[in-house]
Amino acid sequence: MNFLFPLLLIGSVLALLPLILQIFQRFRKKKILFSAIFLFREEMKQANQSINMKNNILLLLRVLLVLLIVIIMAKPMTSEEYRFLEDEKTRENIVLILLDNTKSMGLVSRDLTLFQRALGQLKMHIRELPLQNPVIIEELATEPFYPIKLLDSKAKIISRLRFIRLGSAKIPFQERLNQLFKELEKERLLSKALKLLFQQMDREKREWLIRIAEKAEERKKNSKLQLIMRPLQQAANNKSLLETLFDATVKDDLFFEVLELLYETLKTGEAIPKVLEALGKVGSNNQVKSILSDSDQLSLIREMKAKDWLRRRFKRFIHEMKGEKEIRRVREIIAHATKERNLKEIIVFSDFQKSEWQQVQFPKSIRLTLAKLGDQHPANLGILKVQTDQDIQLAHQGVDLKVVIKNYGSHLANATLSVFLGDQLKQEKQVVLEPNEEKTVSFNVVSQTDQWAFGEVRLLDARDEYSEDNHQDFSIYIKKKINILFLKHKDFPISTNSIMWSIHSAYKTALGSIRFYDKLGETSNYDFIVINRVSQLKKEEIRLIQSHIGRGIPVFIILNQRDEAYRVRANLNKLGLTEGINIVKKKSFRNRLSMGVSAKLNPEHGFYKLLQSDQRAERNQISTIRWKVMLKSVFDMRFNKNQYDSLLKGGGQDILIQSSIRDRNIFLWAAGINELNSDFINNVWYPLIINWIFQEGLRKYLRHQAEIIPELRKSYTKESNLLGYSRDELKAMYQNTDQLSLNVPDDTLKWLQSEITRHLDHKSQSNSVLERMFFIFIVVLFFLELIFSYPIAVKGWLRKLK
Amino acid sequence: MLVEFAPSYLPMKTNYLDEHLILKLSQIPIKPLSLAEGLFKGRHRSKRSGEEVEFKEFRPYIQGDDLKKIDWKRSARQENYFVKEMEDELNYKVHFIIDQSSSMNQASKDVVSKIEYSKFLAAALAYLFVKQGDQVQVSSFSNRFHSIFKLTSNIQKMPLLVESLNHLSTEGSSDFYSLIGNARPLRSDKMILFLLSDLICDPDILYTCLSKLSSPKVKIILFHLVSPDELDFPFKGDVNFIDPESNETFSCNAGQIREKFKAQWDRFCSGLQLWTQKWDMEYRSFNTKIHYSENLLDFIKSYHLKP
Repeated sequence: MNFLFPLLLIGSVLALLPLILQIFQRFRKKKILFSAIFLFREEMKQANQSINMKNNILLLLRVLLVLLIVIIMAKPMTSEEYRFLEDEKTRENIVLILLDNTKSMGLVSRDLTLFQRALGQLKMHIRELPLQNPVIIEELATEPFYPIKLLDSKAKIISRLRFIRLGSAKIPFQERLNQLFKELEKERLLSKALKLLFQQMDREKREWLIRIAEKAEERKKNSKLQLIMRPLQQAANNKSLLETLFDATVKDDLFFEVLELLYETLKTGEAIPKVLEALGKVGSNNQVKSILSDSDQLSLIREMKAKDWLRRRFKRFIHEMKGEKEIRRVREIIAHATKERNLKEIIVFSDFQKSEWQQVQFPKSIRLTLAKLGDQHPANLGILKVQTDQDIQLAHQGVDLKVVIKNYGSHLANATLSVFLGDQLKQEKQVVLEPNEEKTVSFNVVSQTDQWAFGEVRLLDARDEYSEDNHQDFSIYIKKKINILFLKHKDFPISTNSIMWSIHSAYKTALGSIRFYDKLGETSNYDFIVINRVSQLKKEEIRLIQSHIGRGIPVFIILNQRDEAYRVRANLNKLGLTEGINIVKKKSFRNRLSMGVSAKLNPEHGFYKLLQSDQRAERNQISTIRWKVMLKSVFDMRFNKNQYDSLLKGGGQDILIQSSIRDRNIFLWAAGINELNSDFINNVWYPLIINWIFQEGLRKYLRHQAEIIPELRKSYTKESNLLGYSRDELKAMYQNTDQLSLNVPDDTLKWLQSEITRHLDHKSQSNSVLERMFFIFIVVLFFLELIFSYPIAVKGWLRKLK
Repeated sequence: MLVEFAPSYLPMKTNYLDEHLILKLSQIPIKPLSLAEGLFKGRHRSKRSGEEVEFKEFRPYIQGDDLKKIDWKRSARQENYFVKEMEDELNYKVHFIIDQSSSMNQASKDVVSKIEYSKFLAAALAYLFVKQGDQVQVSSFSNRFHSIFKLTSNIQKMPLLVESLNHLSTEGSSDFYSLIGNARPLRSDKMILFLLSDLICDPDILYTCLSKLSSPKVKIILFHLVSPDELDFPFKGDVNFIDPESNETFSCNAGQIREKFKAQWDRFCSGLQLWTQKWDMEYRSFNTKIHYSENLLDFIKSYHLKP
């Protein structure tokens, strides 16, 4: 058996204490010459034996007790666990090979390019390398990839070399190298940190970590711990995150949270937000507000929402893991992940044409080997940076781009600078630069497509440029108006006021602007479609609407009469074909108009709740009962008198909020609108309906947009369902994108804190089961000892008590 | 008086014959011992006819009588043969056998050890008998039988007796079998045998040995020396009892076994008493806590009272 703190085992000397005490006690016993003892010598002999046995048992118990305590304190580990902690085995010496594959290496000298000669030298060198050293091959021109790939066999290295081509670097190479060294150092620190963590963790946490390592392993076969820590590094940029992690672990209260978030990021593939950093500090000073930026606060809320689900997930993982035999494999993975890697040697294959080599800060105390290949110095042209004057552009207005280029080389350079937006070539300009000259070229680009436009600036014909970039990306966000198609019934009395009221109340802040269309086909870029005249739809219109629905655009249908849905079911069913809607008359309900819903319905796209109608409502047209029934059919909630009164007075907002809590996605209405008096329709009913439409529409819209906009995609995962948010939250999110002024609400904070404390309580309980068992065992041992050693004393006490 | 008995006050050489006690004892008239009845029933007279000293009786001649003993004058007068029997005022042989085994070393606080006690007893009684003209012999036994003091009736030799008692020390374990053949001479003389011992022995062995010693001509008097520890068993707590003879150690809780011990002890003592009564022996248990003179006087007085 191995121990985490083997030094504590010295304490097992204490096990001699009972032995010494017993011997001492034996000496201390009164010795009496007593001859009359012969009278029951045999009995005494037996008694003596039993006493001796008792004493021996006692001694054994005491020694055991001491040893047990010592062993518990020394924390025993299984041999597999221990294997990871052995220093000798968990250290790897890495050789880093920097291969310059920038275009300058393409220079031909003595029939071979410099690059080919470098490869030849490299192959020679690799053959001489000792086997056990893993090798990292870094190409200067290629985009760096983290986690850093470790090549542990020579065959892998040789095959890797085949795929290296000449190119031009995206990042200035000295920065790239410095970053690489930092990355390596971080990795070393992290693996060390992980190892330390692993040492300090209890079993459950270890298994979490193992699980995470396993997940990482699954994701990419080549990835190791780096993959786990990559998001961490990206988010933290510096050591603060590491510190946070350590803090959290030391405090032992936020470890789970950290790991959860870690896991979440692994799963979604997104960078971990600074929330992690904040979480590390929540326990100490409760000042989330001051630490977080506004966007981080949002993501904090989101992460917290996802937490419950995550916790459940993790518990199941752990549960599953306990039964699995492959736990050994997992342990191997974690062993690999906790390996401490030391950079031993750096070998550089380059022509060293660039003066920036001097700026590279090679790590100290590492063997550095340089392979010199040539001394010619060609021209060198690169794009320094691309700037847009504003990130957000209004639609149909141009974006000003400023591209800065520079000639680093010693010759005159001539190149074509071109701007692409999407795949489209927008503009081209010819550039001529003197050696060491810097120039700014400006472009005006207009995007007509989506809200996000991705562009690229390229230096074409850059045969003799080798350094820096010959292309750079940029992106623009274009604000669009929301296009709503309202296919209106002729006599559908829609008043500007009512619509404005509803829009104002709900979405004025949410959406920049809204444009209404009333003819289908005017533009194909509708965001919503609202239809009031299903029965009058033409074939062509139906086809167009179907294609919209297929694209994921929500369609809202307002029916004038309660039974209209059934009457117009032919068109409705056609419309809902893609969504799986199927309206039929149910025979079993004689007097009642009902609609059935296909089982294949996709709740993601609405249409899963159809209204119910009541014949009584038709009979008593003016009665309030009908109103209530009708309202219930729309909002699926029963109105009390006060609510109803407030509705009549025109204050529908409260009810909307209440109804929105229910999270229903009703896109189809049949309210007997024609049967109502016009005042009410204008002042209450329409606003309500349209408000409702927009509310649901916004949700759908957001979801739709989430698939396009990467920032929203983050929020839109199946697990952290965006639709689970309340209207206020959604509103806040959209507000936030414009103004970034949202603060974390107090109740959220409270919830967060309570959640953490609850979780911690739970954790402490579950963790201490083993310790408790040990404690009980010790108590039992003490009790036994008491019983064995002092029966008479106990009796005496009892007598005294009596 | 008692202070002198404290072991710490014992000088290297102890005068086991206390003058005060001698004074006290000399005032007691000790009657010769009657052979048939009891012990000190006056001066003992020998039945055996030897060198006649005093006339006893005439009795008719029986075949086998020595012709020398025929009193011719009386025979002539009575026309029958009469034998003149003379009675010799003989000394009795008194044999003190002191148990020398290690267990006799047992002493408790402020109480003299058993062997010292028995020495005092033996010296005093010996003095008493010698003064009366009896022959006294002192022996000891443990594993083996030792003769300490040869048979004598000379009172001048009493200091020698004391001296030899001084040399007596404890050793080994008591083997009562060693008494057989040594305690009394082959030629059966009439004798009184004082056995001063703690009787630490298997009762069966003890009984067989004693029964073998007993004969009509020997009066066996058992002085059972009992220490106050054995009577009261005052120990408490965990104690290591050491058997002095076998050196075995028994550790136990004294409080636990007190009742058991007392019952066993009483049974042992009462068993001894019954057995000695049955075999016509004298049994006396002497608590060593009580001064030997008191015990001795009690013993002597009790014999005076006997019929």
